[in-house]
Amino acid sequence: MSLLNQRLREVHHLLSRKELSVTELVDASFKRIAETEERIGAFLTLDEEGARNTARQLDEGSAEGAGLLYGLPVGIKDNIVTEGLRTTCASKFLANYNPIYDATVVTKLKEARTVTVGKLNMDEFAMGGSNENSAFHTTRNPWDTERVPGGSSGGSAAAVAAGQVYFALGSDTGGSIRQPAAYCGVVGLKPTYGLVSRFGLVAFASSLDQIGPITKNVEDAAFALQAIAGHDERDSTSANVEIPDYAAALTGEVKGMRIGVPKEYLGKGIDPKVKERVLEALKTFESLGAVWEEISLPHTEYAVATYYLLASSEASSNLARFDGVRYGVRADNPENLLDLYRRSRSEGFGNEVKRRIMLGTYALSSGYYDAYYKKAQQVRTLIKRDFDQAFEKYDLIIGPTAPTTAFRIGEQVNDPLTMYLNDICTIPVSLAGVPAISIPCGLADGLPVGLQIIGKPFDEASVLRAAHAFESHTDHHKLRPAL
Amino acid sequence: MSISVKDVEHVANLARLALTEAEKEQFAGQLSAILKYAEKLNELNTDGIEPTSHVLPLYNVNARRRGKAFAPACEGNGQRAGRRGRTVQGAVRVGIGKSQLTIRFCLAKT
Repeated sequence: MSLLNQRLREVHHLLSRKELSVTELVDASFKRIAETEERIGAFLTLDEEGARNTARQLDEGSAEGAGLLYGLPVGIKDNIVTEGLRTTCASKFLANYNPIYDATVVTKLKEARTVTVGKLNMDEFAMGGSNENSAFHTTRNPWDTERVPGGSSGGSAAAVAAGQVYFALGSDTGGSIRQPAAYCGVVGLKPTYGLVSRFGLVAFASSLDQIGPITKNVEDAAFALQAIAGHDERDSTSANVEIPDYAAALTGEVKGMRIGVPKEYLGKGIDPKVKERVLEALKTFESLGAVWEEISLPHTEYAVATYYLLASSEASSNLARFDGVRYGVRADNPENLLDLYRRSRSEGFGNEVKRRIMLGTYALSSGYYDAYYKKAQQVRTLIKRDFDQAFEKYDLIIGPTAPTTAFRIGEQVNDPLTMYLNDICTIPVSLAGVPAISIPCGLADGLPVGLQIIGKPFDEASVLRAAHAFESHTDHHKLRPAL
Repeated sequence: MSISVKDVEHVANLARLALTEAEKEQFAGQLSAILKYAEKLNELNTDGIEPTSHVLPLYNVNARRRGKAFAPACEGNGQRAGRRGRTVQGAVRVGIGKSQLTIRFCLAKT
């Protein structure tokens, strides 16, 4: 078995005793990348020289006091800035952008002494659920290379599923960590809004964006979250809360846990085979002593419309900074300033980004603000109340992560609305700002199905505990694609 | 709500995008479909419902911390000038030939 598929504690045991060098582990990562990258295309930038230098420095230094993440090769989604390492957001606009600082999460991973292998593909500016909106190339699903890996953190999920890196960081605005994790058969955790610093995450929709880990199992997710969570003075929306010991929460004990299962997440539009896997998972929870009941989150059907109005509005504002003056693309021979703005933006942005900027600009424009933007903010309140009320009675909410398994490349590319409806089970969670994890719960027609476990705000510990208990009693997470 | 090519041109102007004729046609159709879908929200009576712009209770960090500046985006030479008063921080990267130099600056107004 590849070193990159071994359990973290075993790898750590070898690394901390120097029975395995960081260089050997990094070699294994690049070897796997060399074997698989042509078929998968998870990366936008590889930093082999930088990774090897870091590995050598770690090998030359002492491993004393090394945390569990010491020496692990990791991949970073390409909308998280890395000092001196090209960060493109999968956009032509930033094709040559070399950030002058590290995102807080990157600094924290460096402090944990991980090794950054490279930057991972995504939908341009995180807008999309298939990776087909990357301006550079479409990452392929390791389970079936004719299919999408999901998105927007598709490169992150594919790299972990293919065993190219030990774990990866992604970002989630409406499902962008959880949905690709589901499609690629790995674990993806979207923390509570505010738990992980957004400093250095290129903004898409600031009231929704959140960074989280994509890993092979729940235990690794707990360790990765431990490393990146925490208050940050550089992010004014960072929550100042105490960070518990997440690994300590993995007791395997779910007896008496109360689980709500929203009927809206198992209704119309959900693939019957996906539903079957979810119901089997609920049986597993039952056998472990948890109790579940069907509940209703009545405003679920309004979530997608709400999300696309709010996220696009925030995006149209956030992406105003890409004007041809400060970053990246600048149009040649502009006639005047306005012409410079217009042509730079039109040359730099791809189709989906333009579409969302247009939608957001329209929703915020004079005469339509109340009808669309404010209305959507009010419905967001109703959606959040659905969750608040459910959590008065239940510890967790469980359902599918996505209504289907991974679809074929090109299948939905010309139909934005259908594409948006893939996010029906993840978007309400993002609007409510609560934490959720996607874990593998079996296959449907040979493709992975994701189980979504949703928790109360800042109660990642319970989410991880339930996910870990499920994982300990099933083998779904051990399935790997034949590559 | 049906979006015409003229509407698209108006919004594209606000958004500072120069669209081709084909893009205008495409966006008119797609935005109409998306906005028609969004009209679903009108089924809900939201009179008196507070809008949620953000899920966390937020407060003005500057007001709360009484003049203490934000942490600098970039650490200088260990200095965090201007704990009181305003600070401006940043860095520029200069390339000369193959070598690169990062110059960080920290301006304090007290």
